[in-house]
Amino acid sequence: MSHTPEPPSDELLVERARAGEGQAVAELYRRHEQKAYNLALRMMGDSWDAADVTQEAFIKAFAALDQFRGEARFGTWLHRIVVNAVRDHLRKRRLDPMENDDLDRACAPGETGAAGRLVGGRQSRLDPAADGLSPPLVDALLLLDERFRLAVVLCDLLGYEYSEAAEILGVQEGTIKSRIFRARAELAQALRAAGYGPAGGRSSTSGAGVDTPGTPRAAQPSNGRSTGEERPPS
Amino acid sequence: MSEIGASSIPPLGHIEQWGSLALDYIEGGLTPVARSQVEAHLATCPACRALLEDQRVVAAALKAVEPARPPRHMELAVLSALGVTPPAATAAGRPDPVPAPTVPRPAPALPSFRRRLRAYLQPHSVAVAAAALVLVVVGALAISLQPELLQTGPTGPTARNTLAATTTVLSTQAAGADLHVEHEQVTTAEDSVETMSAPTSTTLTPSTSGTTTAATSETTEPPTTASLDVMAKYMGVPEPTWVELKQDGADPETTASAFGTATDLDPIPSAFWMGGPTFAVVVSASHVAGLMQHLQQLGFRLTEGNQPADTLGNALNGILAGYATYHRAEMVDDTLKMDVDADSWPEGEASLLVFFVTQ
Repeated sequence: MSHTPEPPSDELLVERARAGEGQAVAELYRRHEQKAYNLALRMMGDSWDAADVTQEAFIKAFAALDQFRGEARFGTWLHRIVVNAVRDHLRKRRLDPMENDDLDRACAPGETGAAGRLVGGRQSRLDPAADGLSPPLVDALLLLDERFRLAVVLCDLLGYEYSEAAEILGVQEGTIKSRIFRARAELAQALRAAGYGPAGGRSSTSGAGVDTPGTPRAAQPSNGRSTGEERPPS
Repeated sequence: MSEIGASSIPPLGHIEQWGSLALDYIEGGLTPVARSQVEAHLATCPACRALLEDQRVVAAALKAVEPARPPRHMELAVLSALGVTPPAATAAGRPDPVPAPTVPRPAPALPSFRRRLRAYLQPHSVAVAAAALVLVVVGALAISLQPELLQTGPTGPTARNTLAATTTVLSTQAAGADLHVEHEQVTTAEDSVETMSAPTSTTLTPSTSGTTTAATSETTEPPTTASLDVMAKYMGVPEPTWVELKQDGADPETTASAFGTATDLDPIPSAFWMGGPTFAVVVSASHVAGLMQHLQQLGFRLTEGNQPADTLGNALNGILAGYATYHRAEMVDDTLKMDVDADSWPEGEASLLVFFVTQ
């Protein structure tokens, strides 16, 4: 196997994969595995589910490679398939309580809203198999509305441009941006309520913030939630 | 954009009303005019300044999250399912091949995996015989399973060669980094019993319709459609119902346009059309009759669709692969309400309707 100086483009690899070249399939897989898996992981919150979904999506994509017509980039097309697989699985998870990992959190008494649930059920989310202990930020992410989470995962975590995320999700770019805005605002609120507040102005403290999310600041359980009331009226 | 006096810039409201501007502002992507609008508001509103700072902090924290490393078993599973022998890990610069997860949860069992895999196989041969699902590879990309795995029945190898359908199978030499790919002509009759026992869809029948313009055949469905039902079922989507759409005296374009107006649906991308403009929608089964009647009242003639398997397969593949989107809808007061929250529907309650216009 010789090393070519210029790596072939995705599109070239797709051509070769269509022609039956196994190595091209493997290379395409390698290139996109990490992003696809991280998308699934941050959406599902469980590394096993994420692996299932990702592998299902890849197999589906490669089996349908003939239908990739180059109207979008291969990565975009592939991520669309991953997103659909993720949505289907999340939906099934909601429908089947026996498979619902969120059950313990959802049943935690006396808690409403993402912020409260994060405080109550943080451990249930931890998934050592994934990437060590997940930082509270990643946990808070899992409590966001699915649409907001998709937008913020694609752009802020995976580094997609707004326009690419818009193409993947089939919505307008402006929609992506406003979902990200909402998502970040909710994340900030949830983190603050959980005692990990961003060092933003309305928190009384500054300095230690999300930069060191693994280190909770002195607990300020009730302050956290009240910050929401300082929001300007809309 | 030319200079505009600061006094002529309309003031902004609070940040919630201009969230996407805020994103661009943080990233320095605003025009000078828009930026001065934003800054004018921020100068007077501490609450919005704080919210903007939240945006900045959370964005920075998210961007700093390290990507998790995919489990090694995933690559093996995908590539072996696709018939590709994974090259030696070091060859691709993978620094630390993790042999297997240590968490005591079993990887998906092979049978269900194979079942899933088969769901992606799209019949496209013209030589589809009745009572058999032909394993056909999508395009030139081949799915290779161990030959014995293709034989699920007790008949073993004798079940082969019963169909004049061609399947290309990639077989790879195991071991070694060098992939040796050879093409092989195989004919395979899949376990037709399972395929044919798939329940056929009867949801098309309008239960109270006076006019019987919807010609449904509840008794027998073409085997190819049944195999697609199985396909959809395994993929966890509602089983598809194929509905041919006509309007007396109207050409296909007019019919498609009228249908689009009546339902608010957009056709799926033309690459996946079946004969003519094709639409896909998921409705709750309890709403199917209402929808059909509604469409009939609008003058559409609805027939149970019967198209060649490759056409059906192409459309379904496109829909399922996410290349064509479908909507979830329900009937509310004689109108089709789109993109409803279908999560509350009971499992198995939904039906995927594929409407297509023909000449």
